[in-house]
Amino acid sequence: MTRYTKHLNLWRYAAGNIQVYRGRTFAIILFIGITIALLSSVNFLREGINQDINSSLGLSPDILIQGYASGRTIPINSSLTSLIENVDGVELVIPRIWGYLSASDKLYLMMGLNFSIYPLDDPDLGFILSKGRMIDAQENHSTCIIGSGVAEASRAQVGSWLLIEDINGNPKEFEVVGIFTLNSKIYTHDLILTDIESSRSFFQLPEGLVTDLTVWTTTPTPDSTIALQIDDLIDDVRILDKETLGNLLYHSTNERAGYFVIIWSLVLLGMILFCFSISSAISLDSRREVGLLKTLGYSITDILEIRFVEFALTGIWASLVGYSLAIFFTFYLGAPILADFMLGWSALFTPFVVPFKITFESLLVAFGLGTIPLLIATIIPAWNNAIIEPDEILRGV
Amino acid sequence: MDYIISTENIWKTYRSDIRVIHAINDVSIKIPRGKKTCITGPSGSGKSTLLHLIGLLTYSTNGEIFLEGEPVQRMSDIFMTKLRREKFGFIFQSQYLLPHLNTLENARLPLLAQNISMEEATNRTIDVLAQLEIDDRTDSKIQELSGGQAQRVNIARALVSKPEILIADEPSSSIDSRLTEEFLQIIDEYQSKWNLTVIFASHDPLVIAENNNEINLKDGKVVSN
Repeated sequence: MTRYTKHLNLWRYAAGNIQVYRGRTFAIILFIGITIALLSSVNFLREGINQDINSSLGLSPDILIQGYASGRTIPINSSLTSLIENVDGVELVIPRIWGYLSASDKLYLMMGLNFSIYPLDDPDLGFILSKGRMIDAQENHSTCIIGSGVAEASRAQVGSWLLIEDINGNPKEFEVVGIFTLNSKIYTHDLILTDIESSRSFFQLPEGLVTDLTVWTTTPTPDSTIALQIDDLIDDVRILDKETLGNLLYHSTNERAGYFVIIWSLVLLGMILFCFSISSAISLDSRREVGLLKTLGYSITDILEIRFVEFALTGIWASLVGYSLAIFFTFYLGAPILADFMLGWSALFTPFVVPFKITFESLLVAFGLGTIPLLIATIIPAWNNAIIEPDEILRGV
Repeated sequence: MDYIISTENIWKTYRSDIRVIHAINDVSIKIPRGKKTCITGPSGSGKSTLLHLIGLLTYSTNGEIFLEGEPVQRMSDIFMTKLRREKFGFIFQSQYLLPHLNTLENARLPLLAQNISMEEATNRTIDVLAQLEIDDRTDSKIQELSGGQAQRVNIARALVSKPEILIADEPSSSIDSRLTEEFLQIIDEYQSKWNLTVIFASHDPLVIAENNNEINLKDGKVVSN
């Protein structure tokens, strides 16, 4: 027998109460479990999307330069490339011609790069293909590499030809020479990558103009002074550094997650009200039980310990159920509806697979929110009952 | 004579809005150790209130209560609880049994708040239930028991921690005269076996007749002692 024997007795009594009040316990676990499942799914998706964005940012330039006039972006002169290359800290400047195209009710992104200067062998910039080969700078006809979403939608394979109408409605043919596989599915899913001249022809962009200039610097995290130097050097341009590009991507998903946090907060409020209603519903029985226990020599702390263990265990069960549901819903089912909302609506949905990742933070949030409101809602009435003299409670029976 | 409990000019006043009720009105009594005492009087005379005061279930508004010569009215709730746990056993009417627990669990309750292992507590409880000839109903829910059986569970719960003082509030109110006699016989056995101090609150002549000492209350005051 140890000095913990009494506590073990109290915990067993509390555990017995959970079993005795099965209906109540089930209702609490169901309600809190669903709430926690919803929040945890949003968190899993947001963390997964952020991880994907990080992968995308690994491929994005350190600085992006766009032509800018009358408050909107315009094509930029490609001759600025040599000027920018002379700025201290600039390693490489690559012009791009890109734009969106619609085909068979799907929206795709076509991007043209100059493969004679694009460092395909650079592991940080190199595209990874699941099938086929890279585009050769000396191709004698228009070729392209397509994302998995494009391949799926057009049923194209390596060796297939894509027939796409350009912005003037003229059909253009592209031979598919490769299909992307990247850590970042969001980045390449709807992408059609081709050489810069094919893209120029497709978008009918005059010679000497490109959509934007991408700049890589000698340091992995470019000093903002490089962007400032470029800004001083060239007029009428908009300069976006990597941090700004990242923020734009993060905000697009985090703000949607924000809507869910609001919805979730309302659900949480509902949960707290639910807990208090449970607490009120049980208070009569509880009051009688507490009065009797006090008469029989249970102290206030004994009673609080019983109630704490009883509802902490219930809350932990509920959180566990909710968290497990979230894992099943998000990682196994792919978070239907919720994922579409978080990823945004486009003509070509990204079949985003959330990377399986359980963080301490997500566990803390799920279990904290699954137990603390319940404990507050039940411990306070228990305390109120426990501090009353047994005589007063027994008289009320 | 050796007195285990005594009160000195105790008052218990309840307030409800503007109404003030003196449930116990300047009561001084002495309870002899190892004897049976019965607090009698008509309904509303303050029997239960006095019993609750003596059983340390509430504080008096004025006056002092002495347990084995020690004043208890200034003791904290923690000490009062400890004294209740160590010295008292309580028998109430059957509705004071917890309906969600079975016979064994109800009777074992006082032992769980002590540093006694669950196994030992269970064995001790089964022993008492066996002495009371109700050990064949250990798994029964309270609703499944007859009035007499429920009263035996009440007795078992009061005796399981081997108290020095047994407090019984209207023990015959929900049982017939045959069961009352049976109940009194059981109490008699334990009283003589353990030298128990037994304090009843009752207006049942059967219960009153069985006592060594009688305290008669009316309107919260002692009429005769």
